[in-house]
Amino acid sequence: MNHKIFSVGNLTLVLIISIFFYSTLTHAQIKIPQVSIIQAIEHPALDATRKGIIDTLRESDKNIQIDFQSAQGNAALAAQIAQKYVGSNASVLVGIGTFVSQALVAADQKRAIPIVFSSVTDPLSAKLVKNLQKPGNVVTGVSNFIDPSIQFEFFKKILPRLTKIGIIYSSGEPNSIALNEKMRKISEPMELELIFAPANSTADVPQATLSLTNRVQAIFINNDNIALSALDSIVKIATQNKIPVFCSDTDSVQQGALASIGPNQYEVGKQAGNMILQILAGENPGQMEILFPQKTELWINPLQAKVLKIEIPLDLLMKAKLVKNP
Amino acid sequence: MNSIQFFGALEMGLFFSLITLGIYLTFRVINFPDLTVDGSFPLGAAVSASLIVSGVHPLTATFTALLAGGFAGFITGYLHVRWKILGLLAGILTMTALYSINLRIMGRPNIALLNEPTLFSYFKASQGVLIAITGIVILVVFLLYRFLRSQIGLALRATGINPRVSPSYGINIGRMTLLGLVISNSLVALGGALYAQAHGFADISMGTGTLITGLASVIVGESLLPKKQISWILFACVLGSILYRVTIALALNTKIAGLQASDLNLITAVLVILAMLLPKVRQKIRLDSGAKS
Repeated sequence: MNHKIFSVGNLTLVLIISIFFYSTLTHAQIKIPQVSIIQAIEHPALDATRKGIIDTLRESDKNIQIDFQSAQGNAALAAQIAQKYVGSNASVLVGIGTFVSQALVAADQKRAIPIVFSSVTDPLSAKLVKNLQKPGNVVTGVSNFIDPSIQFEFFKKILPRLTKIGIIYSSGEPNSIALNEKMRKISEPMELELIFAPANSTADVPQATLSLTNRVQAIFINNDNIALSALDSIVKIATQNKIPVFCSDTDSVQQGALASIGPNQYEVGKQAGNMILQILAGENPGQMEILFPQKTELWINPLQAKVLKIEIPLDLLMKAKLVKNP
Repeated sequence: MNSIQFFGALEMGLFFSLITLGIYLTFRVINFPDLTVDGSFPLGAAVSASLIVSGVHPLTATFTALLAGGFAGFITGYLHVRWKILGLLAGILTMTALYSINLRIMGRPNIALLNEPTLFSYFKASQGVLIAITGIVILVVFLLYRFLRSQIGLALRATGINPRVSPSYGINIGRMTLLGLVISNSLVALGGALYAQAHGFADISMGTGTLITGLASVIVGESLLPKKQISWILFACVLGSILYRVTIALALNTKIAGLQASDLNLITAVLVILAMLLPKVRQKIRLDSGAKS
């Protein structure tokens, strides 16, 4: 017989499933506050935010159980993780990234569990909240948005004759598209022209960079995961063409960006962590205002400035943190 | 595993069973490995989400999404049948093009549908979504069952089983391949449209791995219910899809052997490889023992 119920394949499947069941049964449940974190994808900036959240929770005197899962950029997986968290009666749900936060809101149908999002650039268009001052529901959180005019002013201090900035971004990232629109609006009154170069994957980034080289005086990477992942190739091409690279991500200066100004992702995580602690202490998330990064950090790479023959004003050098040995 | 997680997995399995049925049609019925689905799943989500946001009735939006998916399948079929482009490549080409098209349709990479009217707004009761999707899946399975037993359906099945002999019975292989691809991708886009509405967003990245999860579901279903009748096979697809999701839900709960969520893709691939190898290994063992005796 070819089709027996007790075939090798079936038995293997049954075995696998029963092992899973067994291991879930032995997983003991204790009644302490449970904070369940779901992260969109593993990425240095998001990892730093998560570390900020977890450190804040660990440093508090409360005994808190922390759950963490990564959705690996997979929407279906995000939904299943969210269902797991809602079902296990978590005290607070935490979403790091846009679509995982949306998945949490969708899973928390009865609006019974507070949700804190983090690293979402535009919580309004993501429909996570209706109002930034008084979210009203069980959802609140920290946006990683900082006003691009602060960034542009900083660039102009370093390059006083700056008029054309190239932006490399990935067309598939909601955060980047939201930022591009804000930057476009702000750039006009500041007499800056922005030239956008999209890249669909890290492999497209060198070409996007090359397309900018003879048209811009500087390149700016504003919180874009794909561009940041391929930063080395951007810096290499840009430096050959004597074009400085600015970033919003503070770690990037170590990799050869000239300077960076942006939210400290770890601090963003700490802000979210404090919100979680407040909610655990009994505060109503519906009354908690959406927070924005409190601290922007300046980083400058003097060695790269020397290579590019750019003189950086002394007052900036005093204010900024300097990279010594990149 | 808690009950919300279990019912959630059940619901996800039912949503993805539409995709599994579509992949069964191409992969098994017409014997065509169709990668278009990685693009037509987000296409369905994109079309329905953008229409709903601009005020179109959810039912019309869902139906338009289904048509859009069918059109994507048609393009792949046309490239393959008319211009003899390798099937796998034709699918990859359409899928690649769909990435840009989906971005154009949505205008941005992510459209939120939380608080928008959707097909599932009418099912407010507890487990309303589950009941609604169960109904839809039963309807789709019934229609597919009727179709696959009709004259055209039989011709479609003959195309995959024996493409050499079928033409002598007056079956146009090219047209049947096209038809299979159109129906399959309509189903996948319908799945995408419903999924986006139930889960509150359409995202450009949601199509990654659609084919491989669907394939894994088909194979899990087949190995659990190894039957030849079309009714059982369709049921096996749905069952396989549900089991796949339940397995993931279980995997999310375990901490055995250092497994973590990021191992999921590897486990899926290994599962598919094992399921595809086992019948051959068994056959080989049988042949060897036959030779000895």
